Amino acid sequence: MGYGRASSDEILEPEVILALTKKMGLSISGEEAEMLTALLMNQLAAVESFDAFDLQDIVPAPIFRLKGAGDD
Amino acid sequence: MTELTDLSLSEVSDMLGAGEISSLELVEANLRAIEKTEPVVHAYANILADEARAAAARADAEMAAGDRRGPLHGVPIGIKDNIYTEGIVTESGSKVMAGFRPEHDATCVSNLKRAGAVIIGKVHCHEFALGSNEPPTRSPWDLDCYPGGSSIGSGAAVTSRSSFGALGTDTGGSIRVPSSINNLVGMKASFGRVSIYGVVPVAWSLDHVGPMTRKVKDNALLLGGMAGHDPKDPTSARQPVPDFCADLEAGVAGLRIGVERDYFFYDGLQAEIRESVEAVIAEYRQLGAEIVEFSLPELKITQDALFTIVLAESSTYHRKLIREHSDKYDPATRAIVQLGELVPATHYLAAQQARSLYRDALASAFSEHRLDAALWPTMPIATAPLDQLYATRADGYPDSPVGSMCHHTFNANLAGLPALSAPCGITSDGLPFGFQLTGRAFDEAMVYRIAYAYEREHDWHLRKAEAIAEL
Repeated sequence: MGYGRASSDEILEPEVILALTKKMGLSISGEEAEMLTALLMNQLAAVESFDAFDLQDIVPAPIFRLKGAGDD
Repeated sequence: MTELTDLSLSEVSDMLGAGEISSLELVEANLRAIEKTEPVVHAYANILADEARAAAARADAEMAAGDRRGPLHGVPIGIKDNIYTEGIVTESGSKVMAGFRPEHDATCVSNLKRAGAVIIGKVHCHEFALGSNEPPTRSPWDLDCYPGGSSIGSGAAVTSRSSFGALGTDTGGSIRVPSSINNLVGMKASFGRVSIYGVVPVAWSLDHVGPMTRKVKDNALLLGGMAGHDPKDPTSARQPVPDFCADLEAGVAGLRIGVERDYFFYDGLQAEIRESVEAVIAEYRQLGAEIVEFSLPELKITQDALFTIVLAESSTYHRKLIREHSDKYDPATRAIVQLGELVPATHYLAAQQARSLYRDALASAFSEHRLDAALWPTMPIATAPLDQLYATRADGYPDSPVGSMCHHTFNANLAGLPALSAPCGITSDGLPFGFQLTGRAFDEAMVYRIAYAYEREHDWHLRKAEAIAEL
């Protein structure tokens, strides 16, 4: 079976995740692919929360030192 | 008669300095506590009895010769098992690292050794500070309950009186959450304040090491022994290490403490915790602080931002290990690591944009309102039974206990600001909880000062864990 967010028709098939992870060199079972697909659909939706703000011109935080660290 | 182990780190430090007790006596007292509580609590991954006795004997000899290195000299400390200790098995709670003996100490450990601290043992952590640990560490307050992670053994050991302090690590709340649950003081200092060299990474841009203790002063002393610039750590800050205890007694009169309610005092906040933290706020006002209400809508994106960053960064660290040792990972950790490989780079960078947005918004709030610190509950719940962590919360709020636990802590890791949890109550079920203070960058001393002003008016930190009291 496929997984999708309740609010959308988008479906991601576990077979796709199984093939993709195999291509990436990860070893996962069919059962794990099912779980991973569900987790991934949820995780991909996480970024939607950022849309409440305008991030267009914001530089992503790098691994940073705090201002005032005095090391530059 | 007061047991030695009932004394706090700062109290035994004073007694060591006065020659009233020996380090070896402290080690033996901790080992007796370990013998008594370990069969039920499971705080320790590796008890270093012989090594601790030898180190204590050396410390006693040095102090007898008039060479006292400082307040930590001779004090037994536990070290989380994801922190390197030279020649000592360090497994990060994982079969993947079974038998691994680092060739060097983490810088925080070498700093503590230089200060004369005695390592009493390595304490359990969730697998790679991500998954869980088996057999589970149990809460000394209620053996059926979760004692908080991922610094799960650090909290349980200090609470069980089997060490006078412990080091934890905190990527999203893993010092502050177990500190709240165990009635302890836990500090995640500013990003860069304590070197993370030699600490097994969860997420390089979010990881912190910090102290967990019974009292504020203990915590300030332990942080002072760990902190400092480290050229081996590219994230380490060139900041002088102040005496974190210098202003402890200065009180809060005239200080400005911010309170954000929309996010932190939400519907999911347990009623008893809400009531107690409101009482803390009222008390600070009574003590002369000005309470400043502010709002910060950007808090709404902190959980998604942090989790996305953790997934991507932790999976990058594990990229080789998961391919070579997949079968050795606990299934929960393996799922997290595999999931992280599937997070698009654009989502990771969007999360870092969201982090920038939040960090700047918080800095603006501190600046605009001239805040010395901000205050909210450490956690919205006290804890939960070990077998109910992923169930719907007992109070009916539509979230799991695990989902709720870090709701209030992720934001400080994103901002990199110092954040401390201190005890402020015990529920009708007998479970402790704390409040959280977030300070300005590298102003841990102010956070300690504010926390101490509350602690000295109360005795929460003196309460003993009920579940192990009769052992």
